[in-house]
Amino acid sequence: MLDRTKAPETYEIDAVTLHEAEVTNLANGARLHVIKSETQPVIRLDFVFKAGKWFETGNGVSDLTAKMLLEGTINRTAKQIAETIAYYGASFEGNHGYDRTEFTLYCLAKHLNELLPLVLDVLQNPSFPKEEFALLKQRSQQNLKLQRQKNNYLATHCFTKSVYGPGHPYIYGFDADAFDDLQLTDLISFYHSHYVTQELEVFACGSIEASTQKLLADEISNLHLQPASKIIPVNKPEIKSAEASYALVEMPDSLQSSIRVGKRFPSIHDEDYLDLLVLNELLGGYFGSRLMRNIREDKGYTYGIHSSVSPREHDTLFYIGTDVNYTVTDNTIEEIKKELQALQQDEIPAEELQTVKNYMLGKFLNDIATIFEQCDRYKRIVLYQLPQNHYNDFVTAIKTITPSRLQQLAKQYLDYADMQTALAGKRS
Amino acid sequence: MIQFKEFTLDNGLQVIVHEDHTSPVAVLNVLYNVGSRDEEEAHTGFAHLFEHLMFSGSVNIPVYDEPLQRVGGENNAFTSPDITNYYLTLPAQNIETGFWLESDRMLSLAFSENGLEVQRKVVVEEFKQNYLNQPYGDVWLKLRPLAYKEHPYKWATIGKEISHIEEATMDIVKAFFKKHYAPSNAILVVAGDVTFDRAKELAEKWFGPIPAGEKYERSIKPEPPQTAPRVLEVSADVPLSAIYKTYHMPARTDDDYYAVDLVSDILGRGKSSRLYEQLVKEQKLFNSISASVSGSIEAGLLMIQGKLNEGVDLQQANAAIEAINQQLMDELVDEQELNKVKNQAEASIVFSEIELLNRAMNLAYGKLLGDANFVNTEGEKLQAVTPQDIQRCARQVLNPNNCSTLLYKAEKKEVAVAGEE
Repeated sequence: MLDRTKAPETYEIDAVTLHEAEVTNLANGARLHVIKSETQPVIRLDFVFKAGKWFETGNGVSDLTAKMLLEGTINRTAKQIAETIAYYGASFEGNHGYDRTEFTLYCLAKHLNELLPLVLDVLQNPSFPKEEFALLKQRSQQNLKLQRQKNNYLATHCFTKSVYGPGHPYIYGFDADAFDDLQLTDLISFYHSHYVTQELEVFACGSIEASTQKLLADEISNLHLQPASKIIPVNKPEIKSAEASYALVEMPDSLQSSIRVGKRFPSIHDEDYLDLLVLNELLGGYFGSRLMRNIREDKGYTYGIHSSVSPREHDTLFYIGTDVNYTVTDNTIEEIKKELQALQQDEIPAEELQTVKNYMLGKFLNDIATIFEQCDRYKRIVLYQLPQNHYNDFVTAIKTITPSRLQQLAKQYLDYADMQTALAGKRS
Repeated sequence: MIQFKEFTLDNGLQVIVHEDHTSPVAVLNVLYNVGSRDEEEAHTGFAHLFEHLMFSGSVNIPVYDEPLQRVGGENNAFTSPDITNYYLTLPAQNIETGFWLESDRMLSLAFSENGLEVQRKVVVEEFKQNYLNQPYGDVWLKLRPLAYKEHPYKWATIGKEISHIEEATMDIVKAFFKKHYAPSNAILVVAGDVTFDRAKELAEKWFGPIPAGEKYERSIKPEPPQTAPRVLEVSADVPLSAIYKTYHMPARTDDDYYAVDLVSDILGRGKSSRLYEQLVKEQKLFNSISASVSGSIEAGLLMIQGKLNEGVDLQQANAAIEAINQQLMDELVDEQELNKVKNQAEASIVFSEIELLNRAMNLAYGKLLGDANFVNTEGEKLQAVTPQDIQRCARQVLNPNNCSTLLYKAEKKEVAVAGEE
């Protein structure tokens, strides 16, 4: 007779391996990184420029510059670009980040040859048509109005403003009038100073044959790139955190409040960083976390509560985020305080720590299952200039961390008195 | 092409195994043949609330998540009008834990009163977070009852109203479990780094002993044909006015499903589509616009949705959409444009098969539709669509008498006030 009360035998999670990349330094100064996997007939191509928010000269410049590249080149109209990409069932988009801006092509491997000339044309020869700019600016202004009706947008915007101080590039989102003064010339000069430079990193992954690899190297090295030193240096923006503060964006008709509590964390290169990822997971990183069990599964205040650690190239942001029934806004903040205190006051029980360790190892295994995910990990090592064994160190950190180490970290990093609190919604 | 083998246990549970040894992970996907269409109109939102309760402990295991996390696994679930689908991913060597957990909650639940009370609150917050406290969040709450008058697709999966969730009792929970959660109403897919023999052995060991239960026979009357246009005008505190148009279309397994799917792509898939190119870029009436199909098992909806630029009149924008629809009814689509949407559809299928979990879900869904191999035949069916099929289906589906239109008017908004303490 099967005993269903007894769990099946379980086995330790083995070491993990990441695919290796072949790196080529191209004649024009760019670098090409290739990770091959034949399992699916697809290719992803990422062009990564040092052209994120960090470098921008005005609000929205990096965002709209990335979008304008697809609005026409000296050889192709916006319509022709959109039609060619669609004809091959591909997708090609520019995404601006805090530090870098990436252009990503997804396509079936058999169509790469037809798409590559268009991709390079978009990156090398944008024509910045006036009429498309006017439309894009209007769409962006309208979309911003829409975003600013969302509690979670306003809460994160307000929170990151408290953490980094007004005007800092690491602030999430935009003020209401952010795009109003934007001129096409701002975008053009941003493009010339930050896009076509020799710091370009290209990541190709998927079903890449030798001939395709050669084609990529040949074609990409035809891009005209200027020496990085010619770029106008941007002063490192200063961080002007407010004192631990509490900010409220009042939304009188809200049914819920969006809450953010957090602070700056040490850089991804810091010796505490990997251990802090384990601490974060315990607190609010997964479904079985302390915050989730208490505030959702015990109190039923919310559909979800999470904490996260987001590294940037020049800083790291930690915060707890949730949307709760507005009548329990203050109660939720009290419960968050209690959970932060508990981690400082008491050692984590061994069984709970074992659960979180195994969960993180299993999740990591699953998170690197596809070639795209493998490439993402590799990209992070390159872009953040991490040691090659970063992810082995991550696995080791998970396997070896102790309850006393976690308690010490909680005392050092999770004191509510050091944190910023922001909320959008209402308190009662 | 997804390879698989299948078998059925004596209790009626259908099992599909898909081996993939490229990565040391495994997936268990359990699809229950129950969705919000199986609810009574007085108790909507129940299939979804029940999905939450499936995590509040089963007969022999007090908490579902913890033992899974302890072996490195993670899980989630979703409910749609047609199905409730549970899935977990874990390191392949610990796959038996997945069988243990999934089989126990198929056998019976703990039916904890406290669990019910907490999940009622959680779901009410989910309702508010996604449907009430978001700009345009309530669109489908309004659009479904406009498009459907009889069929249970007329209410949203989250429920018609919050009170239905607040009023759910343990008796209803128990009856629902008995009616819908028997092995004969479920499909199990085991996928990943596991052999067929091992998967079969574990399925027989853990799921084999579960009593068959009663097979649920669904009897839902089809939605009567729509014979006249329907229009509903509402206003809300949003920055841009919006238009939502739905058209009744054939069921998922109908021969014409693929042609209608391509009709929606020609109209509104991406920046090269007719609606976007003409109404966003050329006529500058819309901020964004797209078209898609609901993909539901029974007769579903083709949907066009767009947000208007400030100052544009709703009637004028609506007429512009209808003019573009009319063009597709009047003129044959050229081969180039048809090939474009076929290539897009082909690429979507290939990309949807990259993740192991998606392959498992696709197999389960195909099996529910009658054939696990369904997913491997879709590419061919799409390629077979002709320009004449497109025109015939466009005339049938885009007929104005088959259309329900929601005009969503932007009201003046209040300005957010920032303050500090």
